Amino acid sequence: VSSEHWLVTRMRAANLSVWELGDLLGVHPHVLERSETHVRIPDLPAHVLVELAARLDLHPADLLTDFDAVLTNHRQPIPTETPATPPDTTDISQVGTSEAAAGDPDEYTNTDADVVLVALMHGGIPLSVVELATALSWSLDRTQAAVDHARHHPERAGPVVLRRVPPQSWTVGARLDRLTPDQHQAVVALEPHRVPITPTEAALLLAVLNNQRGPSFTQFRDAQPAAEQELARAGVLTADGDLRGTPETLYSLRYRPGPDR
Amino acid sequence: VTGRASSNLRRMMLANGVQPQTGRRRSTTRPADHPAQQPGSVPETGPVAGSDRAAAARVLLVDNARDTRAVTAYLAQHPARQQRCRSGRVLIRPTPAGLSLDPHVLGLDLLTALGKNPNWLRQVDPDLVWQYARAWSDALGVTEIILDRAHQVTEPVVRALAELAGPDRRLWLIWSSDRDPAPLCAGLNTELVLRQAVRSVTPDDLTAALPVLPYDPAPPYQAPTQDWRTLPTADFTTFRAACRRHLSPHRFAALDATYTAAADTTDTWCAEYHDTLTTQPEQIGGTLAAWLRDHQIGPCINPSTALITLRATQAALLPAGIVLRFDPRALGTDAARRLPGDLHNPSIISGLLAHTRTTDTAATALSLHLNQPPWVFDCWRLRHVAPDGSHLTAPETHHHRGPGHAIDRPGGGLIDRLDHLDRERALSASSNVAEIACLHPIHLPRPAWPLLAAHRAYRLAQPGVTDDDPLFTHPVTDRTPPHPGLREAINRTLLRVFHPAPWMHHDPCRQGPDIGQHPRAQGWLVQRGLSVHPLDPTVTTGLHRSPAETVDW
Repeated sequence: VSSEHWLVTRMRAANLSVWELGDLLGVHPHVLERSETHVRIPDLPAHVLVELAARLDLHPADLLTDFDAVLTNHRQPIPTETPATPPDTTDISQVGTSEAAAGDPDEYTNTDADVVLVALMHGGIPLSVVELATALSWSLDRTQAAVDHARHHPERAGPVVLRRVPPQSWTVGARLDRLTPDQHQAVVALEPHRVPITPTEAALLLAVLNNQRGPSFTQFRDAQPAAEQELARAGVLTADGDLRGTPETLYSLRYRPGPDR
Repeated sequence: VTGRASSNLRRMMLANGVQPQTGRRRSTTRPADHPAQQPGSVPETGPVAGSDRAAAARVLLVDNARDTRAVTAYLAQHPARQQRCRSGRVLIRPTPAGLSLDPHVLGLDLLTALGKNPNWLRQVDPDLVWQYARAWSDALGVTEIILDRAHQVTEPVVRALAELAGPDRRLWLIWSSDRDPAPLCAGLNTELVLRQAVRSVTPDDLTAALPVLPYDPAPPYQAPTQDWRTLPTADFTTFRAACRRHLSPHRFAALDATYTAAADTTDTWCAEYHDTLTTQPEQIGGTLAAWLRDHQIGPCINPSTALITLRATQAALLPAGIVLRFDPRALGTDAARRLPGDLHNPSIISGLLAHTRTTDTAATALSLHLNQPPWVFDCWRLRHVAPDGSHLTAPETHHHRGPGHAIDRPGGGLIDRLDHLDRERALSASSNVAEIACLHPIHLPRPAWPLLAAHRAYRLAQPGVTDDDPLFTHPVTDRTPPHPGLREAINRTLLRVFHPAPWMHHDPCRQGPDIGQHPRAQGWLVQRGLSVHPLDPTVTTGLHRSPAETVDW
């Protein structure tokens, strides 16, 4: 995997656009789009390196190893090949319990379970054990043991939970026991980001706020049903029959003192 | 100064027409406005108190024959270059190894002392070194020029420096040698530009006249505050109420003070332009953009303050029939950090001040302030620039051909290739104003004043140039228009200050906040996701009134 793919993947995960990255590095995005990037990491100011590392979910020393000597918060080693003794040779039923295996068996089963959970989150679709084993280049036994371990120790998954998708696929989802029913209902009811107010909506809002009730207003209002609905959905105008501004809108636009908190 | 060396020095100076130093504790003073000494006349020998003696003369020879450690320590405590410029002092350290015999090299030393990057000075035209040095000295307000190791430079070199100092600045020559300074001083005394004889003073006179400034290091880098992340993302229609609901009372009180003040300022602005708002609302966009840029939102250094000010301005503009839309979706994850003006970034200002070519720095500063390429820069004449570089007035006549962003890439059809988000953005921005910067006065941030003042001084010092000549010419040739050369100069300068500008590209850029706009718009508003939409007068007629007079709901 090239470094370019690594950078693009991390940028995508961090929702960092090429424009923002170029702005951060002090180069134009066109420079980053070319293969010959002339950005030298050691030439960048320290605050840029720290900010860049934070955006890309890295330790600053991952970008510049000189940071290892000066930072008190050191890097944690990444277990690329975790198990000292591959569990492929062990009996599945003994995984996590066999004392004969070299090293701490819980350690590699825990780590394998974490890897499986992360892989399922990245995958985005339910994956079978075979698909997981193929993607991770693991044996089927090892993959099955990791899935079983994650299933038997749900506390390791933190706020997510491993779910079975019939017949034999696995995925991850959000736990349901951390939110109150009201919180859950309110979160589910949230709508995607709304666009800023449009000129048509602003004209309707302005007419309503200034208490226009003439025939021209009625004609204008009838011609803009979508604007009225959008303003009501955004909590700017009341949704009941009498069209007027909500207390929040009147207060924000300084039409009257604030509502009670 | 005591000893045989000092006696010899005094004797030689008397013999060559230089007034020697006298006892620093003498009480007798001489008038500050004593007549200028004629070349070749007998020097005055009367005793003079140190401070008065320094105040009376414009060229002062500091007798440091023994090269004392105290003088070395004093010069070493001289403030760093940024503060040095603020204090009006500049300390020149001549380049050693014989190069100081060349006036051109001393000019480079002076530019280095003025804060210019010595690595970039090699690209400066040797014939223009002293012109740039004079222009930057004027712009930075230099009043005291101190030349260290003056005994190592030749008379033509010092004469060039004395001519630059002129009658408005004092020139201190640190003479740290037993060698006779009389030939140098006699040569300087013949120069009519000095109007004053070279006067010898003691190091104590120097330290008394220019005491060491307290150590004031540059403030450490401070990342912009992140408190704007905890501000509500609601549109201006409900922003204030959302803040009141979600923030602590203490924080909301501080926020609401900023909000109310910004809204009141907007009300005042609306009252000032009431006639235009009611009769020709479609023509208010340019004036509004200039006001937001120079006075209302641009000067807000803190992103949080900028966002609060923007929301209050939006709320106050709506009753006046103006919709100021803020769409942060194209601005990335740190949208509020893009609201303040680009010239309020200290690292950019210090980077620009390290450049020597005034054309490059002034054009880049204007481009950064306006967020526009230099397509209107040939409208301004030198008389339109304030001497201190604080502002530009609007020219009476204009020379620009049309908005540079009106030219789309050949083939067209850009808007058809946009996804839904970009299409919506393009349609919503269709009524956006074309920011033609030269139609309105421009007020620059205080740190950027020297950039324009230096260019004005440089241009006016060129032979045959008057107030009526263009502010910008082509950097290489005198042909007009200067756009192509200025564009390249700005791009080079922006790369050096690590601040690339999407609006400076020849072709529509695939990146940047103007994606999806057809034609591609460039300006302060676009770079901040803002667009101005005057409401239809047929809808808003009769609706203009102060919010305080509204009906009781």
